[in-house]
Amino acid sequence: MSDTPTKVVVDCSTGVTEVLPLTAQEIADMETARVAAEDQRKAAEAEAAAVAAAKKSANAKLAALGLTAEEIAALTK
Amino acid sequence: MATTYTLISSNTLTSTTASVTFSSIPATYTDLVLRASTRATTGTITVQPTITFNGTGGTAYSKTYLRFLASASFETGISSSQPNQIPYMVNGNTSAASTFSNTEIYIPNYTLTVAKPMSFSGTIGNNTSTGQIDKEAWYFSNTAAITSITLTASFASDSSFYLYGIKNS
Repeated sequence: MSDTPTKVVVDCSTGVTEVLPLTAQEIADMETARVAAEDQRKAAEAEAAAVAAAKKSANAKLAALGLTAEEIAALTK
Repeated sequence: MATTYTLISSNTLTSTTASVTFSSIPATYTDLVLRASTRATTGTITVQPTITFNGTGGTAYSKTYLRFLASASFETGISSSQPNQIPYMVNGNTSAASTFSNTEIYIPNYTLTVAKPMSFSGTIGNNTSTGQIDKEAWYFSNTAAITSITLTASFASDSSFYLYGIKNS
């Protein structure tokens, strides 16, 4: 059996810090948030990879047309 | 450091902890600064903790981000209408051993009853030899004064959190 996750609550008005076990609802909410954040990160990475692949493909096509590497670089600056 | 820069509260974790909340934040300052040195016990090299203000849910959060990665490439984006929180990045379980991300969140005019733009700056261990820079503009559309801040992740022991208040005079 795994330990129940805990949370730390710092009361700024009193300076008192409590360590409390998470409720079942808090655990479920945390998992939902974690999955949503991870999905978003993966989507951002996939988008960045797609842009990089498109750029590489475009550069290859420009090179096939006879442009030099310097000319291609100048186009993208 | 400005003489008006005052430590409100801090906490250093002594065991793995699922969330850290600063509650009952006094309304006696102009701005807030949250600084943290954290590492998560989950994920791979990087992990995305989330931050919530006043326990507010819904789509009150959005952000624009710019990241400079260890691969010397940039990553940019806009995330509108974030559900219930803003995700950001810290070192994860397989980042270099004993390395902690540093995070600074600046919250201006936190007591005003208006929507609140804020900034995030972070340095993350992207692999064993290089780091990653993350700069983000956050927007919290809720107009209530901020009285609590919750950061959620499986934070590792020795992660530390410092909340400062700054007065404009």
